[in-house]
Amino acid sequence: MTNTKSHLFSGTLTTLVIGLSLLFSSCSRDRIERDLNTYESPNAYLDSKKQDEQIFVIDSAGPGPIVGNQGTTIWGSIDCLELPGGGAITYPFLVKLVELYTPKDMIYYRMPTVSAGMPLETAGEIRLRAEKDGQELLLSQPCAFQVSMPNAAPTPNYMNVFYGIENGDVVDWTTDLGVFGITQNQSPIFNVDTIGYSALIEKLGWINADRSVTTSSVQSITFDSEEDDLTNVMFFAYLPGTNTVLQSSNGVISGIPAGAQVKVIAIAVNTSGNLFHFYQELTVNANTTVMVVMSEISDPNLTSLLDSL
Amino acid sequence: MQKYLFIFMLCIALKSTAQLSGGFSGIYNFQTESVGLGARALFREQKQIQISPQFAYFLPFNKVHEWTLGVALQYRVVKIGKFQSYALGHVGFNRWINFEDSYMKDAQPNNWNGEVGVGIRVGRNVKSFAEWRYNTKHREASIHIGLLFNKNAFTPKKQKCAAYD
Repeated sequence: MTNTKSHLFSGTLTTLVIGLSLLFSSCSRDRIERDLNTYESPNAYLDSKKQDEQIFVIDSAGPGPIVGNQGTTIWGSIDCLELPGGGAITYPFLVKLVELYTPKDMIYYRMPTVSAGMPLETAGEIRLRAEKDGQELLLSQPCAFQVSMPNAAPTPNYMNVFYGIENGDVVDWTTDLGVFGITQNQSPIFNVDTIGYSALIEKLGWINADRSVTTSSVQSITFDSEEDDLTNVMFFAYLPGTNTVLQSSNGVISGIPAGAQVKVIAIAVNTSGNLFHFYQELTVNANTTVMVVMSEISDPNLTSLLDSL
Repeated sequence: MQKYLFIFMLCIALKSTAQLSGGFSGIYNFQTESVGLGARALFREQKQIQISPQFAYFLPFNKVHEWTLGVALQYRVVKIGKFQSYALGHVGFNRWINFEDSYMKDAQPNNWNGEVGVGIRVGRNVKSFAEWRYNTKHREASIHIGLLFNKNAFTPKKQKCAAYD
């Protein structure tokens, strides 16, 4: 091979290798893979919108009660609180309160009203905690705190006291205090007072004024889309008839009473941080698949939509 | 445009049968992960610019089931003995048989595809070749490996009879 030919050959080869590498890097699998819009988890957005935990510093004895900014009213005594293991506590200590009375706030907090897969009718959820020097306190037995949850038209002998079983990010609801190793001494049914629903609670943590929804069967909604990758999309269902909030698990919302009117809302954030949603109202008579097309929405508009549920 | 180029190149090719080879190839499309079979002719193989009508068929078990009938224009870059390397451009009519199975929003059954690529060929009567090609429409790369046979490759050479020497 002459020098000229050798140079021509190596030059051509180098050019081809670079050119082909560039072409290969722009290859596409569009013909065999879904070209779907992708989203990220909306958890950060929902966290930014959720109700703050209110903190009350209790530094001396007083008549009480503690009143949350949405009207939750709490009567309690330092004598009913103890450190884990049983030690008495002294002033000051903290009482922490989260109030969730609207479907919007339950969705922001991702706190569905479900007990062992069955839907609950709710009059509101609160999280009531007490803390001393960073240690979460317990209610000593057989003590109880009185809690009144605001309600404009409470029904006597209707709502039950449900306690939240926390398992990671998921909270299941139960009336059975035995699950927590606590012997029940107080009535598990809410009374009606001038504030709304009132009960003596025997465990701190998540409290829910609930009633099991009577239904012959429960159905589910599965979501699919030809345009959107639903992996990170979060779905909620609101049942206005019972004020029930359900949340998707692995892309499926289950525990829907047969024949229920359902408002489905999906929330996601794209990689640019823009907010997307999907909304549909439907009656669920059987297991259903809903085809989803996510669309961009502003924060005020989504807030307004959730307010209107 | 691609259609007219296709017809033009085919006409030129069919007029020059003096240097004709024919052959077959195996094809693999990297992006669709599909295997195909190809058949081709090669005209003007000793010239700088060569013309090759081609047919490619991607089998039904693939994710993409299709065939393409086209013509390649090959520009010889290097020729050293039995070795040639060339750049190529190819236009062809493509029938995408299972286009309805695709998630592509604008998938169509009938397409005019353009390809660019490079190839090497080694041999004289029986030649092996390999090509790397890039489909500019679907942005897919494929490799073609095969054999070409001269039109007289299997014709016995005429023996001169000693009696007539």
